[in-house]
Amino acid sequence: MMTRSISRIRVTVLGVATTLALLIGMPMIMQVQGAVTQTPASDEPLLVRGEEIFNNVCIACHQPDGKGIEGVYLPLAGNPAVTLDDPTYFVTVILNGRGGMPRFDTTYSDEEIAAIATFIRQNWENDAPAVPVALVTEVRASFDVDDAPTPEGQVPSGASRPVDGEATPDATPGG
Amino acid sequence: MSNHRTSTQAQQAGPGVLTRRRFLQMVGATAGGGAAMTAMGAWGQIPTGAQTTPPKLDGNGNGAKVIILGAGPGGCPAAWELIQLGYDVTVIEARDRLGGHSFTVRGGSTSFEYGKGEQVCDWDDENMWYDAGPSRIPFFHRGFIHYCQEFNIPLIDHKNLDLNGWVYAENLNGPLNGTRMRLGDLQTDMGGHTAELLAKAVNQADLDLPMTAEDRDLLTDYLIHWGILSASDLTYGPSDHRGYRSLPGTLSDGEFSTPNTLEDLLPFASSIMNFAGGYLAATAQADWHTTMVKPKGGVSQLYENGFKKALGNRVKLSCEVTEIRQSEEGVRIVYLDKATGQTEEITGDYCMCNIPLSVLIKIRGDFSGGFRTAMQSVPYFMALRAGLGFKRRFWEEDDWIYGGQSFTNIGELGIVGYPDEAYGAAKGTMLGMYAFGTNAAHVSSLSYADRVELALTHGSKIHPQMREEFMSGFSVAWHLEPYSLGAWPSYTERTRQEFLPQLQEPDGRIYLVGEHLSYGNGWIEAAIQASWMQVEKLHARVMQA
Repeated sequence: MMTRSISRIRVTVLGVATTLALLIGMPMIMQVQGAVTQTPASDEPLLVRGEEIFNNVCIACHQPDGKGIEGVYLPLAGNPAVTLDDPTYFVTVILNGRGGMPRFDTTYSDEEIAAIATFIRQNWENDAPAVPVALVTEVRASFDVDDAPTPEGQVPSGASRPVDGEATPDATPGG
Repeated sequence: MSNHRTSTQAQQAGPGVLTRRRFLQMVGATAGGGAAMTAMGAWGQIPTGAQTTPPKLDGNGNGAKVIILGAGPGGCPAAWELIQLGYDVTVIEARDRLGGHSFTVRGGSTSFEYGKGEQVCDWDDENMWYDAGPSRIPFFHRGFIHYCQEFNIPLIDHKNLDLNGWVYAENLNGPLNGTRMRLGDLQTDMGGHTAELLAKAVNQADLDLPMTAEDRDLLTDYLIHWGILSASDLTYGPSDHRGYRSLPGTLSDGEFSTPNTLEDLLPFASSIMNFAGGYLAATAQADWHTTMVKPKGGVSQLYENGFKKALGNRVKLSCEVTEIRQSEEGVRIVYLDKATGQTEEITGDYCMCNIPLSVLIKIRGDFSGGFRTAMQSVPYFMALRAGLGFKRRFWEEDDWIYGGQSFTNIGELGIVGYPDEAYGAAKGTMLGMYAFGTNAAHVSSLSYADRVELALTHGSKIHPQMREEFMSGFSVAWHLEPYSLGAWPSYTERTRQEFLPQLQEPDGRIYLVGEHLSYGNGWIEAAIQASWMQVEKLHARVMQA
């Protein structure tokens, strides 16, 4: 499904990531979910991971050709909202969901979100710069830190226990 | 909530001071006793926050015309209550059945998903069915139970828990990797080992715990009975609580089964808890306290039998809403009659809309900007349920499982559920797969046939005889289903605070109904409660006018 050579991507990603990291004032070494992550010297793993997630998850609605279902699931291929120079909006939608699209902020790490976004921005006829992990970190941080999903009836993550001083709602399966 | 009260008291002692009270609270929390006490506090009285019967309203709607969009769990009760208040009600429903996401699949049932096409269920036995949507009703969901009583829909037990159900975990360390274990054995063993550890700890005099001797005795006594410990040395071992290796009978007094060691159990139990902790403690969470109920024959009975008869020809089935218009004078709904292929229009004074937000935002409509923003800001969760039909009820005949569930740490499989009625019948249907989130997305990307194949591959790890007995399967991925486009909304605290209040208010002459208007997303009861709230608001407005 990848339409570009890895070496070309690597150069593009590295250059853009560096530029963006500098622009938004992030250090080149970033702390992401407890792991020290080097701004990519090679984005092969990022793209491989992005493609893997796309083929496992996103593909269900957005289809293998990235064209979605007309009038129902938005296309990713050739969608200008996906390939904007500034990917903040795109990253926000992946993190928070929108218009019936699920949220993925609690499912994926910043690196994984960056991987998905980068893969989508560079697959099919799309040709946009990679999304640096730092940008995802920043977008995520712009929402409330404690903004965890509420009980929702029915999600079977392990039982979440009320913590002292707050009524943490359970993520419960049900129905 | 009672845990608020507890934590406040604990905090009053100040941080860092380990008072006796605080110590006991900590012990209670870690031993799981805290949950039990919270629960008792909650059920000691009827909880507030939900209505138990429809609002009793004065006055008559005098034929004011209300168009209801969607005959789901929100639209049906709204229609029924408004009819009784004297309104002229028409319900437009896109599917060819009532109930919406409440969908009992049986022979002849059909469904459609984007990218997959139509699916027809070919089960050939009255005992073969499963609920592809909600399937179990907590005893405190009084609205649902109210309507079942009103329409004479018989309720049966939903047996959420059978201790004979299996627990299976893989990809872990230790000898229990890739093995199955009875749920009852796991629960008894973990409870027993935990009780033993705790009992021994609190009885170590040199620990100098801030407990009185009486506290220790009371707690120890409780732990002995709770964990089935030996009173003499506080150890956990075989007993008639864990059960038998050979049953008492004509030949002998029987032989108790042998507990697993804590060391062997820990990776297994931890993995299951991490994946499905709430399920494993299947009766320890308020939503699943026994007794749970369901209509005999599946949740659809309330809709296909109850509301269908009550609402009669006021429901237009197979009519898909394409435009929702409103003005100062009233509402105008444009819809496609799928049977005739004709576009039709209907006008009314008000509209009550039970269409999920994920679908509603794709329909042209006269909504204010703020209302539209709110609708668009609510993401939906993904879920998939597959039913597997079998020519023999091997789970009953071979494994002695009657109802309840089996649990795994296989994300794609989720949980497996067994039918609660027709025990001993020839054929039956199992809930063969209940996948959530990204797992549901992945499974849903497969063809109908491949989903079932995957359910069989994973399910055979628990039930090796599965393939031998298999007839055919059916699956519904709610995020691919045109009139649901998602399982239920996933608000966060922030988005709920920001958008829910607006969605609960009418936008002009349009009122939303549905579970997305509440905090109990995904539950039928939430939709019923929302309908009652909106009916009350609309009726007050009409009475004032």
